[in-house]
Amino acid sequence: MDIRVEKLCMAYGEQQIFQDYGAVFPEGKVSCITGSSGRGKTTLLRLLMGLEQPDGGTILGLEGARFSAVFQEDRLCENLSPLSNLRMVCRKRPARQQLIEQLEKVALAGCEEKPVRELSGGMKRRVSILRALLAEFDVLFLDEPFKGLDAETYGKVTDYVREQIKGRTAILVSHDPRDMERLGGVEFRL
Amino acid sequence: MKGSIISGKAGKRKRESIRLWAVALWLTLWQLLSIKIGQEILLVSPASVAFRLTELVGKGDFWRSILFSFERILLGFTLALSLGILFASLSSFCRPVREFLQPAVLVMKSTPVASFTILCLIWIPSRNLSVFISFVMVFPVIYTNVLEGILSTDPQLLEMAEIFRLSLSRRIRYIYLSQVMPYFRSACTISIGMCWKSGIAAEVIGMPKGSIGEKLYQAKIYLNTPDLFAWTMVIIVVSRVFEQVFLYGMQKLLEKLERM
Repeated sequence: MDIRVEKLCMAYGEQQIFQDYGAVFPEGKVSCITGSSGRGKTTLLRLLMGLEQPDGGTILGLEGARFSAVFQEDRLCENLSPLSNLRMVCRKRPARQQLIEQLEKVALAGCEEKPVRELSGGMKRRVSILRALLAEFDVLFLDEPFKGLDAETYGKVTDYVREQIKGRTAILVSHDPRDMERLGGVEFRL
Repeated sequence: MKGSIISGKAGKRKRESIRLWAVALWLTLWQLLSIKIGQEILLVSPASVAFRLTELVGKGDFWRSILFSFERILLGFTLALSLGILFASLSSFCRPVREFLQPAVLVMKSTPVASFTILCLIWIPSRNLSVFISFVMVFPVIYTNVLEGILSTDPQLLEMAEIFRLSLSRRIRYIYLSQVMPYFRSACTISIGMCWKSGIAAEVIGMPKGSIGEKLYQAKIYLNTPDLFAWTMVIIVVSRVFEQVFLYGMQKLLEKLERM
């Protein structure tokens, strides 16, 4: 089912973020929300995820849907290893080797047992992306998922993400036009 | 370093271990001072203490006294640990529980061991006094630290847990444990030493038969300084060994839990 946003209104104090905003995010495709800073891209994502309540309007098509997300921040358990962070969201306990293979696909081989706090920013980002992809989901939300990745890993990770979300509903927020090109999809400019 | 729930901020810095040279220097100073004073009754020499200790170790009564005190202090500590965690968890989401416990915790924190001990002697048989006193000293430390750890859990992680629909058991295992553990660990380190000190102090006042406290009291009455020092050494060693074994066991348990 498509995700329908109708007459969405949202304000932070005096600042009006959305006034009767409407959009239809198609099912099974990647929707890319773009726009300059402060236009409400992350707010829209939070509203869709139900983390914030709108002042008015309706959001349809997400009832009972299972979400997964790459947040703007990594939101990892810093004292735990990447393996534990991944296990945390897997419904069935995955085999250790299976998880290590996934980590290798995003160039994280060899650091599966290190505490996350000892990883670099780019490595944490990749753990965060992998966690979102390993969780069971109907809709995937990606908020600036590739920031902090170097040129080499950027290509590898975007290829991997594109492959994993093919035919699935994903909503991407990004400043970088390359992200939309790499993942393909419909642009929604705020 | 292997990732672990327990290795929080404290894990970054290696714990300062006691240097052998420092111990040797202190022992030398002690020996020299004892020779200078020249009266064993005022300041016994480390050699005499060591000799007395070797004598005590060979007696069954020595081990029975350690066991007597250890059992009771351990029971008080375990009770405080269990109830401290339970009430801290309840207080974290139920404000009335927190408000209700606040005055009691404040009283426990501020009341001297001697006042509690004398007061409790009226209600509790002296042989079980150290259970209660250890409990009273440890409970507020565990309760306050665990509560603080739970309340300072990163709200962004809780939001993440909401989005990924993590069950309560997973939230506890992966989020709360990793956030609370540094607080819990430091609370345990402080309170293990404290429960031994307060438990033995209670025994010295209550003098239950066959306890370490009774032995200390007798040493004081008969001005038996070597015994006094020897038993003090025993308390330090037992308390330290217990602390190390407990923290090691906790670390292993958490690592196992993390791998589950």
